[in-house]
Amino acid sequence: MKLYLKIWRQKDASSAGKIVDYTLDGVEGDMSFLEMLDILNEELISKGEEPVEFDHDCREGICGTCSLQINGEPHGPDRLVTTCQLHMRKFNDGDTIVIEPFRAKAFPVIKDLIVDRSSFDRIQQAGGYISVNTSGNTVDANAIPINKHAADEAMDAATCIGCGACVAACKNASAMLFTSAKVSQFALLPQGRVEAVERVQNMVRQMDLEGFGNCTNTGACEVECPKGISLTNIARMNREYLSATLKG
Amino acid sequence: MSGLIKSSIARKVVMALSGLFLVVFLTQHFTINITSVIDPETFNAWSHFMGYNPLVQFVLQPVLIAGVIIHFVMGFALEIQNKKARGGSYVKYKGSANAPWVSRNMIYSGLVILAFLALHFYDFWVHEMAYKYIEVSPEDPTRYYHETVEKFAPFWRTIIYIVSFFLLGLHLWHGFASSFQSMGLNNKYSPGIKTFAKIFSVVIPLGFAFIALYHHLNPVTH
Repeated sequence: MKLYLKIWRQKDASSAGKIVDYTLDGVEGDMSFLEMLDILNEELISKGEEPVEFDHDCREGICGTCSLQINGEPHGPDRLVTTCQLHMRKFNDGDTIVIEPFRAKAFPVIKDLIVDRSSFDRIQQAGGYISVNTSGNTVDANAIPINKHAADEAMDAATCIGCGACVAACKNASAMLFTSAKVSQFALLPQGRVEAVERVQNMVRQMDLEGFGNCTNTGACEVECPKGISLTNIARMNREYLSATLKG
Repeated sequence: MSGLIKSSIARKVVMALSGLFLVVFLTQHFTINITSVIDPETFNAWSHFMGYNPLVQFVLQPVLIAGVIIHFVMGFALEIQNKKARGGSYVKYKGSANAPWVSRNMIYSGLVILAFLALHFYDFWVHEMAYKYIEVSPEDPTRYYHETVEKFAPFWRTIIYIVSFFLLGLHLWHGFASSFQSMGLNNKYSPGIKTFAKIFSVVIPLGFAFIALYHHLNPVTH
């Protein structure tokens, strides 16, 4: 198929970017979206032009590295998939596709379609961990009885790959779905309860410091999340935060 | 404490609590108003009670005004902050793909309601304050029904009220159910609460619109 691509090109963080038009022929339905961009880049390189920079790593939908706002939606029009798992069969011959970087003040553009998502790392570093004694006397995690339902919910929360689609989709560029998943994966387990009060307070404080917007419960994040992280995690984080505040 | 006021979660809880408080007020307001259709004497009696009871006048009324102010000032502050959080704007942003219109446009339905409140205060509250505290007119427990019905004689006012109630319904459609999520309530009771909130957001504004239309179509004959 033949596609008309409108791609955001930006030299570096301090330069102004703009949309550049490309026409790409010979795209097949079985190609992934990133393979389509690979082909475009090969054409650009053969013509001596600068290739389009985009983030990618595992290309298996599990690492959270790929991003892209495709036709106004993070990871494109398909549901529960990352951009690397989005296939070109979801598009038609002659389609125009607008490709932009995820946009948020807390995700500054580095170059073209690559944004700096280290704000997520800093939120995680603020409290997304448990303290485990590694002196050689580590207790087997399975020695602690855990309710099956709680374990499942914690695992569901832990499937968040931190790609940033929630922020990109949210009209407020809020990072509450990401932060709440990271709070929840510990809050639901006994090992995580020990530092629960400090964790939620520190992670929410860092999230606010990074300049993310506020949650207005539109639910866009949940719909666009490639891992189907549920809004119940945000409610849990709100509860955790309120209870942490009351405990001081 | 200042850290708490700046916190995104504390702010959304403030929006939720002030919103829920206004929902309770709406219910009370509607209960009294609907009596104007059923029995004018009951409406007069309740209105007189609300107008002259010291607890209502000097405690509940200031609390209500504070609730309204907190809700819209915080709403504006959050909207500005949220706009800034986007940074550069998208060339193409397909909001309709993942969230309903009402949830994405609370600021606009809210602005219409705020403009309506200005008219509503001018229509009833300013008049009431002038009657009681400036003109110092005598108490008249029978005046409220006539005063209310006469307000709906002009077609334009009735239409403005009905349009505003429609926007109020849209605002409640997202806001009422959403306030429970903001306060951390999302469990097995949530679907029931959500259904109740949606029914409320249709029935109450529709009821208010009915009252306005009823009085427009049934003017007081002297």
